[in-house]
Amino acid sequence: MENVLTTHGLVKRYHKFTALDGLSMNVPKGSIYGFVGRNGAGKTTLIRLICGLQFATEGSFTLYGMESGSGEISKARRRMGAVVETPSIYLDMTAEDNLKEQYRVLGLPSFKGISELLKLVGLENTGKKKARNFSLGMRQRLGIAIALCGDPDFLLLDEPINGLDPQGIIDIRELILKLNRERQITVLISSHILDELSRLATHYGFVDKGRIVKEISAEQLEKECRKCARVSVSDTKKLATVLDTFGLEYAVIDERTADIYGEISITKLIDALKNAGCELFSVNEHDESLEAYFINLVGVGENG
Amino acid sequence: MVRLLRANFARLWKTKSFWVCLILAFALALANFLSTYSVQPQCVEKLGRELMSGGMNVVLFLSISAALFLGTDYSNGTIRNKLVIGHTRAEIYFSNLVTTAASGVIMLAASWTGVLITGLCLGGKLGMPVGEFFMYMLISVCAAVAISALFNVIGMLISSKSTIVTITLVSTFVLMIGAAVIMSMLAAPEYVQGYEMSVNGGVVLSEPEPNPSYVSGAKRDIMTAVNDILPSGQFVQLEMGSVHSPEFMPLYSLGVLAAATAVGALAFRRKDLK
Repeated sequence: MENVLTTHGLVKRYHKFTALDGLSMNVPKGSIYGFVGRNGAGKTTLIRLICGLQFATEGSFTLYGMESGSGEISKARRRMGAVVETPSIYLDMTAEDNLKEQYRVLGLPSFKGISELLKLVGLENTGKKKARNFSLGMRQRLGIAIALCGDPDFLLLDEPINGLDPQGIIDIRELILKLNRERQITVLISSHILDELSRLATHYGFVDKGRIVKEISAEQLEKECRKCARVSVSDTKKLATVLDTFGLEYAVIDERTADIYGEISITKLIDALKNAGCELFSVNEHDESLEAYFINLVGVGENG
Repeated sequence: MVRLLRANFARLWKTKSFWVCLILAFALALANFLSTYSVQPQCVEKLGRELMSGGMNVVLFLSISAALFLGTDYSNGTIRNKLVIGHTRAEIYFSNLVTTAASGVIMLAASWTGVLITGLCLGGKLGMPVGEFFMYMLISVCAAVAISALFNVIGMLISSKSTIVTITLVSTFVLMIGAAVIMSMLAAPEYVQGYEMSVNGGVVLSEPEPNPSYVSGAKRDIMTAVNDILPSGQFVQLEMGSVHSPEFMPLYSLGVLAAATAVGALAFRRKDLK
């Protein structure tokens, strides 16, 4: 499969702190690549390096086959759009003026396509309203619209749903899916909101302490995610004692809920729980979440 | 870079702070001229000198305008939009330099326009040879460009808008006050005439005595050179009507422009941006 972006052992050090520690990854063409990691794992640092905002201490990357150290990388970046951390917009300009400014920066011969872009991100009715008066969601969508000026093939979105309300999250999700499906734009999206990412991503790269721990397709991930039984009981402490006697693997979710992995005999479990004085309310088949997969992969760290 | 210049000038045109500074530069120069005219109507006979007297006011307004313009790209994060789509850092640096320098020259022209039109309407004359007048205009333009280069270094290397504004304003005041102090020290006479009261009540002049405040020797040479080289020193000399070495001043300004741009562009090339 052709890769849009490949990184080779990227290292980025800030004085004594190592943000990226030999990060190597591959973003396949046409994918929505979920870049998953805790806060401080190195997600934003990687995006800054790709965008040319910062320089790697060691290692390199290729973007559309162009080496990061070569002069050609600027040409490759012309095929790219990005929203890094906060949306990059002029707050004292309207949405339309912001797009016009980016058209000029790109050197596009006319402003044709601006109304379509505004419509695409749902900002066609903002009129003369200045961006400083926009909601966070509107600013985020304007940031994406600016990143889309010049019809990029590759979009980098750094935590695009941070701080958004539920409707804003849905809007951004639908927009990303639309861009990927209708315009065949490859998207690299960094996030630590795993539930949301699991609704979008076709590929994942799990990053921890500045290194890629695992790269996997969504399809493969689904296969690898273990099935479990989610049980609701009156007391998970008593449930844990019972499960220990059965030698079963489990994860306690809260005081009344737990996930049990592996084959279990419901009849034996009910009997054992009854003897332990624990009531069983419900049992449901449940897939291991992306979150659980990630935790299993990188362990519960200082932030976990 | 042409694309970035188009984008910069379009944004400058829509920036309120630029227009406010431009109008203030125009209004203050005119107000100063009218104030002088009300006391000394004959000042219209030396319109050329009056035109050259408002350079430092322009520098003050330019410092505010440039700091806000350059700082906005950092505070709004829009500098990223330029880098992400493949513009080089050199292109970004030089396009901002050209924009800042152009806004300085525009403000200078605005400050001259009001005085010139009003002065001519009042029957004024240039009051100096045309060649000399154009030389002074060239010195002013070059000094404005050189000082823009200094503001551009600050605006491109500091990532916080409020810090850019603060440092630019402080630098402007330091340059202005420093140039004025140097100029006044250099203007001190070498000898001072003492007065003595005679026995019959009359006043007689004593023998001239060396002035302890007079700056001499190498210190005088250095201070003279500093005031000739720094754009603020050139503006103060133009304002006071005692230009030391007019033929070299544009070259000094070009030197300041080249040095500041070399330092700024090299440092910006490796700067980590967020």
